[in-house]
Amino acid sequence: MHELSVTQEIVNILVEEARKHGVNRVTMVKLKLGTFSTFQPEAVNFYFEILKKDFPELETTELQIELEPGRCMCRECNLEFESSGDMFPVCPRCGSIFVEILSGKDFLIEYMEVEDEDKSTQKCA
Amino acid sequence: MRIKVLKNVLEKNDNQAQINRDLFKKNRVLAVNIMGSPGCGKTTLIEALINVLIPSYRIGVIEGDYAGTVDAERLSRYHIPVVQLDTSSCHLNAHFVGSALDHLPLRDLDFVFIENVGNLICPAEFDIGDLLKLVLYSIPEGDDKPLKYPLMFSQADAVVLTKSDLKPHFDFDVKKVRESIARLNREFEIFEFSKKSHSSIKPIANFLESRFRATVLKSYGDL
Ligand SMILES: Nc1nc2c(ncn2[C@@H]2O[C@H](COP(=O)(O)OP(=O)(O)O)[C@@H](O)[C@H]2O)c(=O)[nH]1
Ligand SMILES: [Mg+2]
Ligand SMILES: [Zn+2]
Repeated sequence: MHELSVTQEIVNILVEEARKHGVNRVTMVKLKLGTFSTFQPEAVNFYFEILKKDFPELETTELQIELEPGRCMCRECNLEFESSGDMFPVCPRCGSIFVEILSGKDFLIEYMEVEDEDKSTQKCA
Repeated sequence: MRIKVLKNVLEKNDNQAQINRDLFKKNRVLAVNIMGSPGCGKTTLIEALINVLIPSYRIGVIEGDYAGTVDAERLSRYHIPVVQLDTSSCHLNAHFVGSALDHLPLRDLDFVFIENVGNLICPAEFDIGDLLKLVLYSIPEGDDKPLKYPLMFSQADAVVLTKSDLKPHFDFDVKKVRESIARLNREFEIFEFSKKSHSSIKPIANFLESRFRATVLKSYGDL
């Protein structure tokens, strides 16, 4: 349910960036969601389809949400490893369940694909 | 064409949270974020804390739970500054809390208790700029909650098992709870509290007092 406010933030940032770069149309947005975040990609997509309608720049925008593995460290044997599971990683070396989560809680807008602002000028150049 | 953005989706919230945190530190206030599901006893715990701390400390409250103004009215009898937020959201965010700070005399306070919206998922994702997180959950909710809401419990400085007078009526394994939180959280305290036992609030109040001295007075004493 908290995806509504986070999707609103995504829309705000996209519109801001689009205007900053003089972009008329954003076609695709690449997001990276840490595996340990509680945000649900389906819910973000659901709200995005509703919220984007208010902005012509986002009319045809598609979100691509990639799940990013998190970094973990075993508290027993100090092994650092990646996990793309849930909040309860298990050490692949010693099997310990006492594992520190180092990263993988972030939600990042990586890049956006946009239609070139003015194709005619590009051809001339 | 591809335009790099590289922005944290929660950047605006996190920036405002830092502003709030700096403001608390500057005024030497220990801001305590109190989280837990609806009805787990957040307001009850705040009342008990006020009762024991008020002779020695100056306390303010930010009331962020739905419930209209019911909780704020309950607290009004202590004659302390209370700000009721009208959030109608599933969590508090840093901007809500920031707006409340305009209405609190921070310079004249030692503790600000912030009652978050009753929910074990959403508040965990939104930093509000607190300096301490208390996660409450009541015995009737069952001993599997840390496994269901890991992010919340991974961030707790202390977990308070509330309504402990009800333990005889529920199969609730405190040891199991402690072990599942320890998987997620390297350092946390665990307390049991019942509003029917006056002595059960003491260890929690002592913990807050020691954190107040350690965090607020010591580390930021030279600001
Ligand atoms: N038996 C028992 N009931 C409690 C205790 N603490 C709170 N309650 C009851 O639980 C209900 C909800 O408490 P409240 O503090 O309003 O919960 P909040 O929604 O988390 O703020 C009220 O009816 C309280 O009287 C407790 O320690 N023992
Ligand atoms: Mg309440
Ligand atoms: Zn290991």
